[in-house]
Amino acid sequence: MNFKLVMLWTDVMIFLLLTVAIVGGWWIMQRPHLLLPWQRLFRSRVGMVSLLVLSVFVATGLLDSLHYRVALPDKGNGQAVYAAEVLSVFDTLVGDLRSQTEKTYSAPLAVFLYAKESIETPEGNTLRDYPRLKYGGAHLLDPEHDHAGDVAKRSLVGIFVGGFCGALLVILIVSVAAVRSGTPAGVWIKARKNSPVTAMLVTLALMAMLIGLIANLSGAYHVLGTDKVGQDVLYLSLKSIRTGLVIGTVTTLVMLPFALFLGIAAGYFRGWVDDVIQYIYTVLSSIPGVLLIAAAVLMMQVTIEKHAGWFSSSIERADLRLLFLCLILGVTSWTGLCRLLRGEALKLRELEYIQASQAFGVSSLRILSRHILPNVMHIVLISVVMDFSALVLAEAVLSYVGVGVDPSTNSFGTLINNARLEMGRDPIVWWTLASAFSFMLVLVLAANLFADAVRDAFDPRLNRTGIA
Amino acid sequence: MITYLIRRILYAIPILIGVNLLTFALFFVINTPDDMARMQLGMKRVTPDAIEKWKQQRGYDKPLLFNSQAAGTKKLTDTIFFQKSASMFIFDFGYSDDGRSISREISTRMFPSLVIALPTFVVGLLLYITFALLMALFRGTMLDIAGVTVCVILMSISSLFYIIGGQFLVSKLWHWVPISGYAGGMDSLRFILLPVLIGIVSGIGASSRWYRTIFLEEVGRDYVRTARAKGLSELRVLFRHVLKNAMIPILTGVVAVIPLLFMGSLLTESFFGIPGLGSYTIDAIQAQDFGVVRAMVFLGSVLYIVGLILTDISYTVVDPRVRLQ
Amino acid sequence: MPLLNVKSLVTRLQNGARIVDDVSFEIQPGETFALLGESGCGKSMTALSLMRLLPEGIENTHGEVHLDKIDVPALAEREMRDVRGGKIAMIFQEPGLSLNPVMTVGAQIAEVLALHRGLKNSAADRRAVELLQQVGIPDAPQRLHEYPFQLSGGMKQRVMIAMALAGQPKLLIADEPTTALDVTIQAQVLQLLRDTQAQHAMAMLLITHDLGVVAQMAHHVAVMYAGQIIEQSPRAQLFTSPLHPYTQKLFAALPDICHKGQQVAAIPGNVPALGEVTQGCRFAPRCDRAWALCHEQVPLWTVTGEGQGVRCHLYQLADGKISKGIVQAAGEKEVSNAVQVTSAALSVLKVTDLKVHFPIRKGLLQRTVGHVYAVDGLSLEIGAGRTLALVGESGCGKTTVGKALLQLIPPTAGSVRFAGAEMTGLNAQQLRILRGGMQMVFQDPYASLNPKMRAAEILQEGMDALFIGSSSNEKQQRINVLLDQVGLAQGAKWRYPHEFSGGQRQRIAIARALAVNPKLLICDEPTSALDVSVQAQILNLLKSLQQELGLSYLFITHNLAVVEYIAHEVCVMYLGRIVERGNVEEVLHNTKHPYTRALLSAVPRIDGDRGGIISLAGEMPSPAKPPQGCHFHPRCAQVMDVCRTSYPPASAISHTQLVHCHLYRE
Repeated sequence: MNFKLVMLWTDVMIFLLLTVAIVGGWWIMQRPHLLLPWQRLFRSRVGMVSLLVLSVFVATGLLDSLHYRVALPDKGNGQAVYAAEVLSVFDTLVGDLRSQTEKTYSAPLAVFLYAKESIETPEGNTLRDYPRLKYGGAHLLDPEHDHAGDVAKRSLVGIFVGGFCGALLVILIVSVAAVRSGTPAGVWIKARKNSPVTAMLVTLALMAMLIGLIANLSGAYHVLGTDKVGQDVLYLSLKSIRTGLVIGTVTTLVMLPFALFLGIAAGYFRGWVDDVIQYIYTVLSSIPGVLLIAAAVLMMQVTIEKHAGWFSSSIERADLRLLFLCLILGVTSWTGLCRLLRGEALKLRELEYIQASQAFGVSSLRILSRHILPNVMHIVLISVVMDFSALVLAEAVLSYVGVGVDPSTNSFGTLINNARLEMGRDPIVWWTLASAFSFMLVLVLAANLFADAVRDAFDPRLNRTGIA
Repeated sequence: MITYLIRRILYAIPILIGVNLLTFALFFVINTPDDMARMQLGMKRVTPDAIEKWKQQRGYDKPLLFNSQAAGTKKLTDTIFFQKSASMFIFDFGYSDDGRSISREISTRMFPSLVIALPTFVVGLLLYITFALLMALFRGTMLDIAGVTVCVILMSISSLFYIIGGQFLVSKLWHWVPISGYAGGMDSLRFILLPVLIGIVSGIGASSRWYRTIFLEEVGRDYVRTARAKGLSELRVLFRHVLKNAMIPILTGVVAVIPLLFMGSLLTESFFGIPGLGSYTIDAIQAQDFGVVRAMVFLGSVLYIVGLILTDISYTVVDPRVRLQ
Repeated sequence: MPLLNVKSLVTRLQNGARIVDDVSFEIQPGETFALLGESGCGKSMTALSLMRLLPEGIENTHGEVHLDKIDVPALAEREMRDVRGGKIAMIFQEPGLSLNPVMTVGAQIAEVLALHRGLKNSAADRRAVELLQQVGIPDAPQRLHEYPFQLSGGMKQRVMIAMALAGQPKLLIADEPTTALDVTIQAQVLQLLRDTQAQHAMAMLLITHDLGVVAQMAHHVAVMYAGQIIEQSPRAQLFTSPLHPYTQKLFAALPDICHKGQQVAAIPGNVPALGEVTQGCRFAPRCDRAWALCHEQVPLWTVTGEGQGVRCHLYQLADGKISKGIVQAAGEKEVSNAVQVTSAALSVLKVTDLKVHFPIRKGLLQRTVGHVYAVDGLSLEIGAGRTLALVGESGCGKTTVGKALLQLIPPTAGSVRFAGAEMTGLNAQQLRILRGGMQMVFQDPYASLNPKMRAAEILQEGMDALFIGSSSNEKQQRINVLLDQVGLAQGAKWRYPHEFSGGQRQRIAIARALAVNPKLLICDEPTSALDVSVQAQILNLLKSLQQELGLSYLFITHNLAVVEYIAHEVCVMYLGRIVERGNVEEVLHNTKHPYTRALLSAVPRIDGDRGGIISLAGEMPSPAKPPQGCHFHPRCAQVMDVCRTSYPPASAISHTQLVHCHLYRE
């Protein structure tokens, strides 16, 4: 199949971040003293399990960031024509989930539509009843009778297959590790009874079961129901993950250089440099965050409207808006980290190793990069991880206020925003909200737990007995 | 002390000028008033006349910084910058798109905002500190671990969920209080109960955990060991020694947000239909009423700076080391 | 009948490491019992175990503690609270951190009075005033309402003592009570502790690392090493005939005024880390008399006399007879004191009238309303290959002098001529050329090395900055030589600071300074953060480097014992100015200035001689408001009228010794 790769701006940012992370990881691997806090982190059970959960989210997001356009059938003139629709690898993987849309709302695992409609019976009469769904449970001949049994059967099969794959994976990991360490697998496992490795393997198996269950059910049903225009809520929720990740990470990438450089420069140089930098961040932080974002987003909308010609497709436009949102969030959120780094640099500059360098006449720039920067990196890491969950939560609020992502972008915020009025219906349509909130909870909770583990491992102020 | 305060207040002036310049640049330089007009009136099918009229109605038809056509000081005053930005320093915010005085609107909407925000703040603070103290007292035990776990879970839940879930449960399912709305006088109690409750609950996780960290930091200090060596009970140590010291960072941190209570909460007010400043702001954002948004930005930063000054004052009140030096 | 009886006390970390291991001792009523040991030997943990106040993560596993027939470990927590403060009181090392900063002094004392004496309100206030007066705090009624930050360090420790006395305890535990204080203040506080003990017939458990303090205070001494008591004996016996090789070494390693001219014998290696379990005797790896048995078997406690015992295989012979033990500390080499290089050496550094003033800004416009006169007209000269010691208490400006010489702080006025070139008023570029000649070794070995850089990178930084060594190969060669010079193995090159002990870090810091071929090293208290046994290693290293490389040192210190050992000339600083200078002999043995005399007499001597302590009243004034006339006059016992009005000019005692004192004016 022919296709054309499409690189959206946020894709570029995401893969840039991924490269930075990989290179950074390799760099740290070479340096045993930098590895030390990471080893502490790897010993934390909660931290590693939440990292595993997070990595599933990240994998989904990454797959959803590889965009392309499919080639349309050749019309004979030899020119390759590509579909207007931009798809991602993730879309292809989930297959029909994206395309199988119903007419309107349907409850999770339902076979009938949410609302009554006039149906023409084969006899030619019209009656008002809940019509069958086009896709959800379409294979059932007698839904009234077979529905529950079919769901149960499919669930069991899904759990079993998922569990089986998970078990295979676990066995594979354990045996490879055991062979490499030269011990029998039983001994290897026993030695790690209380280590995070075991907890991670158990989590892996459990997640495999869950994925198996959902995958098998979603082949025949809308596991989490459908929304107003009949789109599968599970699909929408999964697509929202990427937006959450982009907001949580790209924002950081944007703000980090400012916060880092200005913060340590203010603390190290003091004097008028400090005054100017302090002035800038006091001005920025004195404007209530939401308002500054709102104002900036309003202005961005005007600009985008004015230059509609910049974008070749609506998805590019939505993507640029997402990137701008990250930028604006970055501008408003760097002040906190900057203040923190300034304080730390103020402390560090009085340390004797800095004075020793000054006594050699080492240049200020070199002192900043060789002495101060490496010694504030733990603060940067901790605050970056801590900010992630706050940003994911903020996206939902901003989208609700109307200054978030483009309404056409899938995100938890737009999902909630579209669904919140449905709470007023009778019977209420609860599933969209429920799935958006659940996905968000799992993502943010995992991020928070991981952030705690990172802080525990990296914060030098925490007293660690035994490492004197 | 007095001179210190005067210095702080004088320092606020350049900050406000900075805020003003920033908003001015954001609203009028990046996009011209013409762009805004076109956007508001719809991109296509807009006549130059309509744009002119729109600009005239709002006073955007003047030059940005310098009016070469006007005479004398009017060269400077008869400009968008002077009319729209400089006048904010005397709290003259002009008119909103629906023609009402923004200043007036702000002064009438402040009270409902405060009615919601103040009880949330006060009751919340007491509750969070109590929880944090309990966790600090039972530190290291299962109770503490369970408390921290609950906190982390609570703070991982979106604030939107608290509002939507709370409205659904309390108002729709149990019919205890009206879903939304507001009334003056004693009648308001009915309306404010749920938003206040939700406001408190949504803050429990993050705040209690934060205060617990502060308490534990104090518990680890040397003077606490001295207090124990005197033979004081753990409860006495916590209440007489730790609490007093921990309240310094807590109180001074909290004082900074008191002025911002006037601004109200965007989410709560808009969900519950409270006619406060929060819902005013959100309506303005959704209606793209630039004048109101600009006014709220300025008001917000004034209140923030008041908060900073209050923080400094509160230090001198609660910390003898600052007070007596 | 002992007041306190401790038997087989064991305290461990959660991972099982024993930080207090099988400790037993007795304290008689009214007696001072000293626990002596270097940092991390478990002496503080022993005290906290007795109080049952161990930090979280450390637990007391077993052992018997009897206080006046009370079985302490068996007490319920509620009953234990009556013991704390009521029967055993405790004072700590850092008086500044050990008092609650937001409670008044009176309230903190009243708490104890209410708890253990049932006194409340005015009765408590009256008693608190009495207590404060007892510990020598002037204006006690006013002080009652002050907060700890309004008191000086010495005053805070007095308040701590008053608070401890409030409960009328039978036993006072003093954990390094004077370590954070200056010598003259230390003398005051030690005197106070002795007096109150005598008055109240109170027993005292004194925890210290300072042999001098032990000599002055203790009746009975236990020496701790790596969690164990390795020797116990009455003071006199310990000081005349120490048994354990470690104790013997400790005495030998101490540079002391009494050990004039002798080379100090360093103990090789480092104190083992907390809870580091080793087979055999814990001191064996550092002991030069260890034999195979020492590395295999833990020595048992051997009683060698009345109230005396030792934990060493040397004394643990079958018949229990004391045999070859009392051989005088072997291996103490007599190193010739060959540092007496050309005495009329060329001057390397000449400082004239150096001033460093920091402005105090106040008011609306931040106008300068005054100055802190940190260094106020200081002149000195250091010859090639010579060591000049700059001595003074904290706050006298001695560290500022070091930084101003290196131009890390720009001097306000005066001239600093290094090897003939003027250093003040140069720009960064011009200064860099001179930088290599003068380098600094800092006090805190933990703060003076960047934790994120390897040893080789640390050493290379100066070479890179000053363009020493052209190729990287050449630089590596030089790094090898440097490591060798400071006594570190080549393997140290690629290791990070956290892998080194305090003494090794200080060696790296010295190598870093040497990397750029300096002529003069400014050593700012280079040994004050180190244990005694390690301090000796560093002092010896500095001395041998001086002989080898012909270095000059400006040795900044508060420790007079070190001065005699390392310096040729001495300058004594008080409040930003030099009050007395001269050769070591002259200043230390023909002391003229009353301040120098007081300083010298305040140093606790290990011969236990307490005679003739010239106790100084009060404390050093703030350098922002130096007193009129002679800066020292408010504290001087020999003050005359002229002292109050005019600052004394220099009076020459000999052609090398100068003193600023009206007593010696012609």
